[in-house]
Amino acid sequence: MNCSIREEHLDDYVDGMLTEPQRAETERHLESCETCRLTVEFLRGLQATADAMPREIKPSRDLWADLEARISPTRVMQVDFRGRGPLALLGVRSVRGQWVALAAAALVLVVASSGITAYFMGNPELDPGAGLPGLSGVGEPVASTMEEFRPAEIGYAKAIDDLLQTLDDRREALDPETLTVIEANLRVIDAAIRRARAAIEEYPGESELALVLADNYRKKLEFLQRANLLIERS
Amino acid sequence: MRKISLALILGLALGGGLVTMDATDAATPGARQSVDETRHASRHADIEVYNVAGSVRVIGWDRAEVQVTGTLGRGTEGLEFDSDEDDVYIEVEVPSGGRRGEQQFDQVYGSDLEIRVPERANVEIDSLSASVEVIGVDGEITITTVRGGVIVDGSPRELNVNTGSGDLAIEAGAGTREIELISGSGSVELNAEGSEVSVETVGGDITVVGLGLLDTSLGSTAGSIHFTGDLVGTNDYDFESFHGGITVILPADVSAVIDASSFAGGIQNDFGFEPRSSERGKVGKRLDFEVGGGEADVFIKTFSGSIEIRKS
Repeated sequence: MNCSIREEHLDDYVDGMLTEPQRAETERHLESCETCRLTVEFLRGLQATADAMPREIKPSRDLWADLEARISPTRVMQVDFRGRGPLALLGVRSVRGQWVALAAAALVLVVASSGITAYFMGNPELDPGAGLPGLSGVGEPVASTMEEFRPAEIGYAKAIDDLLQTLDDRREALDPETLTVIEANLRVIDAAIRRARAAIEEYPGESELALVLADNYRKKLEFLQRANLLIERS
Repeated sequence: MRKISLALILGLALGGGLVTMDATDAATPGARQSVDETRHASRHADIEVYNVAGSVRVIGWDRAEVQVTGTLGRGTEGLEFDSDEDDVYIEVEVPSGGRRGEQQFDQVYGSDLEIRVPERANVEIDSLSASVEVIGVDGEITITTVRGGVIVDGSPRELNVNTGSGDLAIEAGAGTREIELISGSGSVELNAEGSEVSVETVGGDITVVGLGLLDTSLGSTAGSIHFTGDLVGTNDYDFESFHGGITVILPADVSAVIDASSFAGGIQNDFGFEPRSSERGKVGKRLDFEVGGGEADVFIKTFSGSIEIRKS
């Protein structure tokens, strides 16, 4: 940022943690500073998004059927939170001249990734973990065929497509070697996805394979999120 | 070149720093230019470094100063070096719109910087393809590079590295509380002591030697995982790879509950328990057992790789 207001101060403003004089002074500043105004808008949007998200759940590890596969997009966003303000939630830090662009890009990623979370959380029938023992009740059917997994796959595909589109929009601005790096990594993950899909087809009834497949989709989602952030920051 | 000269003159006049250009270079358009500039900074300053290509070497020293030396790429527009007491910003400036997609990118914009910083400073480095080395810095270190390799040697309070394809070689001392390393195709080699550790790669192999590591998570899609170390208390130690093999070498007197499973690979175990078929399915191997007092939780999972659990 090019003004004297620091990110932490705006965090406190959005959180309602400032004293009345501080709040009034900040609002006067916001009237004349577009950068800070955009930042506040972003922080409020992020706060609203975060408020709407489910809290992190510590899954039981006594089964492969871990709940992480179900809430992983949320976990990705929570893992980087180090108490440095909402931007740290996404691993986004202020790089001069790129801050607002970063924030905007990050918000896109939040929407994209939280979209899939909402998709699953709001539609239990689309949850790849739905019906697994210990998650959704005993005796419910387990996703163990591609047909049963398909709705979840559609959810992942939607979020992944959003992130791929974001990458594609930047393709012209990328140097070829960066593109090569990204594509090479995506090929590795896609190969894992194909392998897991083939295994589900080959071994119907192996419910753990659906979770393996979901985990690979989650990794692709995470990689695309990171790739977008890497590009923004490089 | 005129723009660079003006910037340098302004920098000298306003900033009080010292920027030198080799006389021959200065007279030759497109030549590399040398840099030697020093600024005062607090011992706990936050230092941001941006160098798109080339190399960045950061060394901690016992002075409340930041010194930048090195050479700038012939396609760059100069060095921005701003500082106040607590914040320092160093950027190799490149023409807007000309940064990416060019042939010989690294040769045109590659700049080699050596930066000395207060040893307790927090350092953040961003790059596209520069190799990064950080030595003797005790503050928080954050490194982001798309395809540069990264070397860190010291005891940073926290270490966070994110790279697309660069190899990582990290030596972290006992003062490091948290380590988070993410790489795409680059390999990760980590020696650490007493930290919480999280490492994730897409295709890169992971090798970790740990002494008294706390919660540890090593994950890869196609890379192998090799862990050697003791386990502490009731911490969690997770090792997961889709394609890669996983080798976990533990002390013979380890106290842990170990849960290992592989869908298509084998499991070898030095601790005297045999794997069995997966409980709920037709294929796959699973091995879970308790040794010692069963304090730590060890979770090992691979789809098609093999698992080895060895005694050190």
